[in-house]
Amino acid sequence: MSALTFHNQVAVVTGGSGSIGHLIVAALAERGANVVAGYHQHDVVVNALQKTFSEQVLPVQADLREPDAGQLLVDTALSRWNRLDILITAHSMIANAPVAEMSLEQWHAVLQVMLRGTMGICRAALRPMQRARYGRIVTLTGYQPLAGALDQANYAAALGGVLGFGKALAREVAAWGININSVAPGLIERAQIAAFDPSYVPWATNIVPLKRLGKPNEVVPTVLLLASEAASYMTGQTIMVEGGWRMV
Amino acid sequence: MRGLAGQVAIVTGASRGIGRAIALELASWDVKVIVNYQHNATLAAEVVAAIQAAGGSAQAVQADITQPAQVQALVDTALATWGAVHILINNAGITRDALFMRMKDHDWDAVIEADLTSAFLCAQAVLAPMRQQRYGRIVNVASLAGLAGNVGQTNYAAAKMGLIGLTKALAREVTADGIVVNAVAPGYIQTEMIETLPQWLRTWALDVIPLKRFGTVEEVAPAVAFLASPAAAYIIGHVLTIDGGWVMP
Amino acid sequence: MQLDLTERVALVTGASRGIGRAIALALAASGAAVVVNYRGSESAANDVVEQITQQGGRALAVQADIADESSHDALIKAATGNFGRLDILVNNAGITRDTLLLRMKADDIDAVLNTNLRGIMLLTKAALRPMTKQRWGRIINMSSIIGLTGNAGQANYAAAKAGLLGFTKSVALEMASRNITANAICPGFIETDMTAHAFTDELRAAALQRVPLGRFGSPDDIAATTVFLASEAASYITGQTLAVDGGWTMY
Repeated sequence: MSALTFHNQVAVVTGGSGSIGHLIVAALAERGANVVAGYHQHDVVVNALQKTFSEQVLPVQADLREPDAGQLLVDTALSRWNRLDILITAHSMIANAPVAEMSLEQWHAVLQVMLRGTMGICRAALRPMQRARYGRIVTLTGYQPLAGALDQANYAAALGGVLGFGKALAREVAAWGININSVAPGLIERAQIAAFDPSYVPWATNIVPLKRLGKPNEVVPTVLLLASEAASYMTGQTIMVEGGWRMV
Repeated sequence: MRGLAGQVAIVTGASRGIGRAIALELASWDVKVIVNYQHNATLAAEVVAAIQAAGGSAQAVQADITQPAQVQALVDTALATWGAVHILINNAGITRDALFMRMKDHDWDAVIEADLTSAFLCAQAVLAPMRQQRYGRIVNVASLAGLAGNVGQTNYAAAKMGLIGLTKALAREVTADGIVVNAVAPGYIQTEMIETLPQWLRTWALDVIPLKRFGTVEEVAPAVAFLASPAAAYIIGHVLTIDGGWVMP
Repeated sequence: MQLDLTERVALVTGASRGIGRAIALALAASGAAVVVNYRGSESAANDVVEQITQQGGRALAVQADIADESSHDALIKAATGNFGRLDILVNNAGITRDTLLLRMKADDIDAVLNTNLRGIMLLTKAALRPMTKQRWGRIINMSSIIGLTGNAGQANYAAAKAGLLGFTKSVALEMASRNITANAICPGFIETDMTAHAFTDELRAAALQRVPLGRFGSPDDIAATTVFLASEAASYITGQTLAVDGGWTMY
């Protein structure tokens, strides 16, 4: 197996300032990749990354609700480094509510960013990957579409959509050496759990065999594996990183 | 199927194909059926006539179920006509197949709205009456394409796997109120959609399906009726695949 | 929907108590003649038979240890000889020998695998002969969500139940052309005599935390799914795993 190094490779990471996303950007850069770190908020985080990795990390602000945001990120990578090997979608947006109280705006907002945003940037990334006959796409999804989740019907539907989309696309582009997989984290210590019902985290912690939430850096190695050349015979897969929560 | 008699069901997209078969199946168990359709009033009327001819009760209701107001009107019609809604079958769906790199944005959006957002809206609209009676069954008609992906159907696979995500999230929210939510995932079923497939694909599919034939809509409908019945009280958030053994997830 | 099982003949293993008993009664209520297999509980098995016959059904109790394949022919013949055919095999009998793997004896592993996997494989093989001749058959294997998720203290049981899922799919593939389907049911935590005694209040409370429905299942929940899979209504369903678990796994 080739070591998990990414020298001379170029990656686009969405959600590059997020709890998990910024760790992915750093891990890729540490291993030699040049990375476009797409972000929407928290420019302090990506600016710090750029400081650490100087030329290797290029923060680009982009709002994935905008139709051309994905294209912008991809074009930036191409114009700066002239290639694109890796796309990692790590952006996240929630608008939690019980279904009975969820507005159509809340439903559409999450679908727009999480599903359509992912679809749009995949389309932008596929063109250079097809030309190079090589590509790795890793979508960060979650346990929600696999196990359900309270107050997150929109998020579960959107991430389920990403999983179904990814499998269909994996079949379409396999012939170009482009592999698409997903990492589905369980409950991770990240910003979005502040929005959960306070009773939920203790309940889930008690159920998880490891008896704790995951840390963001525990999600990263699986992402790196799937982003690497080593994952050449894996496509259309969903790998859960969930402390043994479901095991299904 | 014990316990279905006298209940009221809404079946979306019930004028044709699998939806039609589900409407007829439920009616055969003395369920009163709202036969929802969007375009084809004639076919919907034929379904209603077939149910009535067999001594059942049915009513056709036109609605574009991507529109909240029309969804509410659909549910209100059921409540006004028969006083309750016990069963919702989210069956309506469309396809707009194309290879991903050639897929138009409006074809992506149309499928997501028609196959996924519509199910959210319909489920949302029936929750209040189901909660009030502390009983309900919601069955979402997903697809094997959602579970396994399918070439030329990135939009459809996204919508149908999204529907499975919705199924499970909603299932957790509403079990305490006596509302049970599940999904079925049909494989290749003999419908008009199948007729449009190229011959090589049909031949290939028949070869890989262990039962060596396409399913019939009459083989999907009973599974939906089972999950819609009181007997399925302990099956929650499950995806039942009906595919002749193709995938065996 | 064709849930009517009139003229069908079923063999249910481990049918004297609990889930097996509920399945035998439900199949009979749908019209099937039922061979009620038991290993030790003769009087309980006779009660099941009596209850079925009192309601006008046909049933017969037959003793056999599923782990012992020399008993299998007699079980199959009890169906074909007395009722003329065998349409439905419900592999329900199972045993547990719970302990942590570090303390598990080879005997604990052998006993569980012999009954819960090897015995089922051989009995299924025997049942496939009449089913193949009839060109109609239903194999329904009682696995468990433990086979999907694993469980501390049940390494042997989990291995057997997971193995059963692979076995089910293989049978489905091999027998599809003969109009014989094979499916598995994964019950979650089901309230039976066995579980009533085997679990402390603390364990029950911990288990319930995982069940969105907020209650344990009843044997009747499993029986209803079994009748559905055994019927003509499930003719295009094969190789599938149905979780009947109150939402535990959302499988």
